Order: sequence, then C-alpha cells, then structure tokens
Amino acid sequence: MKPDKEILIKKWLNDELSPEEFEMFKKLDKYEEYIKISDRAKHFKAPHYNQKVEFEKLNFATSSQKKSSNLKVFKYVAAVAAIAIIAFTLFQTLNTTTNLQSFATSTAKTKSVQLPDQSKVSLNANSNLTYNKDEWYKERQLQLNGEALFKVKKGQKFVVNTAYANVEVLGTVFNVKSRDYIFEVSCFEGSVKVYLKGQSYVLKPKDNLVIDHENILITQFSSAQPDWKTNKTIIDSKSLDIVLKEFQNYYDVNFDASNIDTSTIYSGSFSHNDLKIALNSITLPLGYTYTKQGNTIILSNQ
Amino acid sequence: MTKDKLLNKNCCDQSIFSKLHDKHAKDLHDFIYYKFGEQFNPKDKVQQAFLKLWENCKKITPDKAKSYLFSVANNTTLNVIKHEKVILKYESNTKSNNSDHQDPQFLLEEKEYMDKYQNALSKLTEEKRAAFLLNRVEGKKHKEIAKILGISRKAVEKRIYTALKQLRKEIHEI
Repeated sequence: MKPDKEILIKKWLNDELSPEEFEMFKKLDKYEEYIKISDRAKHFKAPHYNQKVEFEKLNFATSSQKKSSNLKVFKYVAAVAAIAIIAFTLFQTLNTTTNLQSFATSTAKTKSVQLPDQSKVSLNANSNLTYNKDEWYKERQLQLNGEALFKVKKGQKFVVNTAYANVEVLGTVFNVKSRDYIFEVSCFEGSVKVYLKGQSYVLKPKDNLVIDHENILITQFSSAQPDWKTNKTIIDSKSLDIVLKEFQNYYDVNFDASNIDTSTIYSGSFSHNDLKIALNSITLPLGYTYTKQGNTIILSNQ
Repeated sequence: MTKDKLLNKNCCDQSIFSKLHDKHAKDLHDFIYYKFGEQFNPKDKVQQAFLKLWENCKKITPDKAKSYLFSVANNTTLNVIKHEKVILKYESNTKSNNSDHQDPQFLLEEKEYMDKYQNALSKLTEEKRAAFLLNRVEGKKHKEIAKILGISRKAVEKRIYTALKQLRKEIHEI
C-alpha cells in the first residue's frame, strides 16, 4: 500500500512517520523544500516568555484586591476621604458669598481681565472691577468704579453696576466710564441698555450717553475705540476741574489751581505718555502757564 | 476526587490562579504572538487576560479558565488590530553559525530566502499562521494545538498542512 502524499506530509507534520514512511516521504519531489521550510520556521520563534517575571508583575497588580484586610483598610480610607470631600464642598458652598474677584488699577496703569465666560475687560487707570466668581454662571454681573471697555461674549444678560446706573447688554463691545465727576457709556458694537434713575436708555453702535449737569445726553461719536485705548483723553466742552481730575488718572500729580478759574470750559485732548506735552496741550489753549514743584503743578495766568 | 474539587472551586484561590498561569501563560503568549505578531504587545495581552480572569474569578471555574483566557486575549487584540500585515521577526542565521567561514553568496541567498519566508508568513491567515508556527517552532503536536485553540484535531491538521503548502508555493515557486 502506498499512502498518498498528503497523508505522508500530515503525518510528518505530527511526527508520526514510521521509518519506512519516512523513506517514502524523503522521495517526494518537494521533500527538500518542506524540510527547509520546517527548519527555517525556527528562526521565527516568539521571544522568550519569562513565566516567573510575568507572574510577578501580575501578582503586583492583583495583590491590592487580594487580602480582605486590605479591603477593610480601604473602606476606612474611603470613608474618611468621602467625609473630607463633603466637608470641603460644604465649605465651598457656604463660602460663595465671599468668593469675589477684584481687579484694580492705579494711576497711569491699565489691565486686561478675562472673565470666566471668555468676555474681556480692559480696565483703564484708577479703576476697580469686582465680580462674584461663583455666581457668574447664574448671572453675569459686575461692579465697576472707574472706566473700562467691555467685549462681551454672546450669552445671557451681562450687567455692569455703577454708582450712577446699571448697564445691561447681551453681547457687545462697550465702554463705561463711571467716576465721581462723570458718567459716560459708549457703545461700539451690538446694543446696550442703561438703567438710570428709573429710566432705561438703549444705545446703538456709535451712541454715547453722558450725564452732564444732571442732564442725560445721547450723542454720536465716530471713533472705533475709546480714547484711552489710544493713550489719550479727548475732552469735549468740559470744565477745567473735570479735566484736571481726569488728568490725574494718568499722571501721578497734584494740581494747585487756586490762582485760576477752574470753571473755564476746555475742549481738546491730552496724551497719556508725556507729562510735559500733556500739560501744554491743556494750558496753552486756555492761556495758562504752569510750574512744577515736585509732584505739584501750579497753574497760573500768563 | 481532586478533579471534582477543582470543579467546585473558582479561580480566586491564589494557588489555583498561580497554577493556571504556569499552565497557560506561555501557550497564550505564543499563540497571540504567532497570530498577530509583535506590534500588539502579546505580553500585555496575556497580562490583561489574566487580570480579567482575576477580576471575574468568582464566576469562572478553573476548567473554564483556559478558554476564557484565550478568548479575552484574542478579543482584546482584535479590538486594537486593524488587520495590519503581520511581520514576524526572524533571527539571522549568521548568529548561530560560525559566520567567518560562510560564503557571502550563501549568506545573501539565505537572507533572500528568509525575506521571502517572512513575506509568505504575513500572507497566511492568522489561524493558519498560529497553528503552523505553534507546530513547527514550539514543537506542539496537533492534539495539543487543538486543545489550545479549542478546535478539532482534524481542523488543526488541515490548517498546518495548507499553511505548509501555501508557504512552499510562495517561497519556492514565485
């Protein structure tokens, strides 16, 4: 009987060939090729698997769950951790009322503030901005004392509270100036609602609201950004005492104006970068001169 | 009997778990390696499978452990695999022999042969490659492989035989 080729090969592959069958297998025409394939297969051997090392690794990983005593300890640790977390959250919630964020600038300094909703605020000199961080997502509300430019992300209403009025918007760019001697709101984009003395005023882009001698005036302007962002102050028909107060936001000086009439109306502008030029741009048109003594500027008639 | 005892137990016992590792880890590793190649980290897959077994030790009796381990390792590998070509590394022949005396011509031919071999292996199906290499490299009998893979002895024989035929054709005829 002559077993066929396939059976011979299969038997060879399982080391089952009898010596006679092996002789027959050797006579197959592809015999050498098969032997070579089988032999060279050993070069593809899998990398050594170190049973002991691998088990050690595994042991390490399983040991944490292994012992019940460990589990008990874990339970206590978990309980303590849970109490700590609860206490912390309670503390946080009770603490919300005092979680205020405050930003302040001194004379001649400005500051950029990023609010939690990505709205941006540029704070002008001598200004103060406060908001409640925890309440922010319920109600976008801030307190402003001074001057700031707001770029508000679209969203729920955004309210700027000042000593004069509440300025309310949805998403827009606007400037609020709220100082003890002046209140002014300028709208650059979108629309702004100003609540003032029980009345509301809606400002469209390029509208400017100003309180002038107890009167509320809405005028148009043409600049693309507030004057202070270009490092100067533009003044349109204001009495000199207001101008001097405004001046002191940008320069650390005192004025002695006892020799002149501070109710003189001034229109013009002054730079925030150079004290000498700024003083000249105010005094020259009005026909005044100044002398400087330390930090004090004495104004006098020519 | 001990076997009945074993059947009633689960794998949560450390000594049983350790025995299971001794018994199956290497085979599982080799199987995954030959089937999917090295790039999917066969050792990690073995670790993962044993960890999974440990997590679920209450549900799995020791006699079911082997097939559980193999299917977990197989499936976790399949999850990451995108049926990429499997390239198995070969050890260069020159290392084992005294290379100084070898004919450069022979070395070159040998290199060519092994490259062809590598390519041919990568063209085999995963099942055929795993069975063939477990047989030829690890020296496992058809019956053992059948047990490892959980298929019939006949099926193993067929896989290995067709793998050999396919390899011969690829290497020697093309």
